[in-house]
Amino acid sequence: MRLITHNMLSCNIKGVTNGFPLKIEAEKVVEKEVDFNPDFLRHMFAKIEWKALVEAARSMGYAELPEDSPDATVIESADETFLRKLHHALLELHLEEGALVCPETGRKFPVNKGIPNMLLHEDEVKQTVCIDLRKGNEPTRIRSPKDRVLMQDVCIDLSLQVP
Amino acid sequence: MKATLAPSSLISLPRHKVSSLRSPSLLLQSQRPSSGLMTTTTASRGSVAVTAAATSSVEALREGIAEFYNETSGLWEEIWGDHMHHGFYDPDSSVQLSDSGHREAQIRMIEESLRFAGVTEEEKKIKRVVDVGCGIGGSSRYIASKFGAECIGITLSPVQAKRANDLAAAQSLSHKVSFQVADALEQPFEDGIFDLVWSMESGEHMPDKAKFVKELVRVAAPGGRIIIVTWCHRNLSPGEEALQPWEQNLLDRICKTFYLPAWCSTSDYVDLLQSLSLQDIKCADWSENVAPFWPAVIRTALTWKGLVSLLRSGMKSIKGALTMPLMIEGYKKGVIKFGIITCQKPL
Repeated sequence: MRLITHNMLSCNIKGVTNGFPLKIEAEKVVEKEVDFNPDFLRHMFAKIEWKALVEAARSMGYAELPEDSPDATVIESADETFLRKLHHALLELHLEEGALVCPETGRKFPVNKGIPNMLLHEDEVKQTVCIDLRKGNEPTRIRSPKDRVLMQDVCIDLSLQVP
Repeated sequence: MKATLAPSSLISLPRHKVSSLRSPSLLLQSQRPSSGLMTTTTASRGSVAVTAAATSSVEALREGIAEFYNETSGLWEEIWGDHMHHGFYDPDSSVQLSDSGHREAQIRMIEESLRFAGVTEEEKKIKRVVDVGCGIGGSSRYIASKFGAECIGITLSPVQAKRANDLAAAQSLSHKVSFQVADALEQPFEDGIFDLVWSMESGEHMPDKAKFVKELVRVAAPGGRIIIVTWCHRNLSPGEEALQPWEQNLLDRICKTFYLPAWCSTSDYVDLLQSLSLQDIKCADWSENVAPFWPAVIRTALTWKGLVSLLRSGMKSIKGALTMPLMIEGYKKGVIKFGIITCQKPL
């Protein structure tokens, strides 16, 4: 898993409001060379969550990135020193074995052979329900559009997420 | 669809066999001990209530899908390549295509889907893409190359994720695409980060269509586009509450072998998107444009290479292959539709 991917992953366990960024427990980090592509980096730069990237890179043993996100002039300039550091951190460091850790719950998502497994367990999953007025306001799970149609006259709030 | 040479499934639903999963509409009562909810069941108009056993059958379904693709992806790739979806053909094309003709049709399916959604005119805006149910990453790699965008794919199958990453590395696309094991019903992403949300023939596997669509919408960025291409059953007529028994029976037989938990119609997807206030919702029936596909898959299964691979692959694949004619029957009788539904998330 590269840090460009890590920068997008978050913990989706029900009830978690601060699931990003995931902390990295690195057991095996591998460096793999990738062709330098400054245009791609410039194109993507605006979308990167900078602090998350800096901290993640540090967990992987790379501390060369500046704390603060540089402004556009640095990115657009012909001097590619910064871009090369960004390139290395974002694309060339691989987490082969380890875990991604939810900052709020501490739950670990394993990373094996470079692939994170983000599957949630049954008890970590949110339910979409409506409140069934016929049943003393019991939450009733909505699974399909037909459920919604069937329930709409007897339910309120068709978009609740409950534990 | 990760339609392998033999898009098979477990022969029966594992352990917690729940007949209601075949019903197009079902009510599920939540049974979470921690919140102390009741467990009585309710039946209404054609729907069948299920017990808490169904919630763990969802995990069993997930495991089963993963196992299935772990075992059969290699077989599909060997014969059909890295796109695990239907080709798009001109209607009534009677010309028998070569292998490369079918591969081109699979690429055309991607292009036609993008065009239908109105994406091609907005190329510069696409920076991040998610491929929900990515298979071995054919669509992801194609779209990432096309837009110079970052694409992340999710699949339940670790074997597929590994293969997808390996193929990306081999094509020097590792900086643009990556693949993880994750659940489309619980996408591991923050809200609103993807300019394009792509689901190419994975919707059929989702046991909870409402939740599936909600997740697609959640991760789409404001102004982002969502593209769903999926197998559906025909739209119900006004006043019609369910498919005819013979139609349901046909789908049930396909579900059994192809490991599909439930079918809904194209207009069901449209309803869901409308209820979530998406805009520019469009849909189309592309059944005529995919008609040559299943006959072609059967033909490749009957070649020497195909038969040997099938025999090596085992009973699941063989039984699946024997069920493929049911797909053709379903299309011919107008029960099964190949649908595309696209929309845009408001700014």
